[in-house]
Amino acid sequence: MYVDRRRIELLMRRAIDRLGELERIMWEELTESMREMEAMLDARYYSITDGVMDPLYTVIDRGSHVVVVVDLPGSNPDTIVVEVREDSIRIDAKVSREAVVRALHGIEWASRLERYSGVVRLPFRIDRSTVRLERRGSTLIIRARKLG
Amino acid sequence: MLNTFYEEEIYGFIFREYRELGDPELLLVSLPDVGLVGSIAAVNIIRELGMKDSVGIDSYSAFPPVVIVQEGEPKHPMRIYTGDGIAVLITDVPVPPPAMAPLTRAIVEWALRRRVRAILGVTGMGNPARIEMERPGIHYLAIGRTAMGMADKLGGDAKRLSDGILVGPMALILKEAARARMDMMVIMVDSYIDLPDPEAAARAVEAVSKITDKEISVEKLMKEAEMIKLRYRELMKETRSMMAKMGKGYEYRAPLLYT
Repeated sequence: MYVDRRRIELLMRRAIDRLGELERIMWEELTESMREMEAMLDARYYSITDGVMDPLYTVIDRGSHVVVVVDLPGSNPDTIVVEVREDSIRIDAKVSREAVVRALHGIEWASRLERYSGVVRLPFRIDRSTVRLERRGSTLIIRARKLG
Repeated sequence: MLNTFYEEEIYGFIFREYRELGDPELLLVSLPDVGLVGSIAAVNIIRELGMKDSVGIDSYSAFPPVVIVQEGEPKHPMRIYTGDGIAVLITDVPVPPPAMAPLTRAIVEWALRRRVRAILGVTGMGNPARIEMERPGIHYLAIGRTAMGMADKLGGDAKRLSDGILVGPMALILKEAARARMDMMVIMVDSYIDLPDPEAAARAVEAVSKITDKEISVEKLMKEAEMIKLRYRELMKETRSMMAKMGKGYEYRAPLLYT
């Protein structure tokens, strides 16, 4: 049987090069992901040192309206302060010590957590006069009409 | 860390088994995803069924250098708990997107080698109308006869996902399971996209309870919802960043082909 050794060698070399290239791309992506994760963890470290947590939120586009759902678990409802601007919403709240201990018991750094503080950047401008606030447990729901 | 009873490397991932697994028929997989529905539900199932930490999954290149300490005992961030004929996979750290494909392949391969009959994926399905829902809806996908039988047990409580795009870890596991001819069912519960959603997780647990014919209470889960949200918020932030990289936004458009 005729075997073209040169052709086989060429194909094998190409396959090895391609695999090497794929491995290099995967490593680059992995390193990039790890770097991003490190940056996130660094930010968390500094936030914990200050005793401040940024609230988790989600912004829902409802056509003419926007709904912002903000999670403030463990917050004391009497301490929630919401400051609405046309393009952002500032939220501050004190965290109940008891809630932190219950949720994160045994974790040393958790004893420093004292409050939520953060700004929700809105992808649209809103009409401040139409803002409606609703609280469901520790979830704050902010509804507003879009401008323009 | 528990003493290794058996160790096996699959596609670069090391599966360290600490004890006899007891031939689990079902592998429930929960990887951090939409609303952390799978993660929250899986932890509740492990706790309610008193399952044991049986397998630690490790990788020298794909996972960050992390060890989880629980009650003074170091553990692998990704673990499989077993008991009652079920295995449950959980992870304390989100998996970097480039490592997701080999990991899901390794999970399916491990399930095949352990003669698991079906994989059950539990996840959230981001729904912008979640805020109006008292009782989040359950959707499912099933491939293979065993998985179809599992879906039948849900009755009218769940809807089969007929059209849509699935993105993320469950999409990869589903593809791998299909390739390996492994039965698989994915439960997707309507949830917030990037907020931990214990209520949606409770619905997922109810579905798992029906599928496995085991009583799994969600009372504690609902009672501790606030605490869970506080405990899981940082994992949610990490997961949100990973989801964006995986192109989770594709789920909000229609597929090309329609009938």
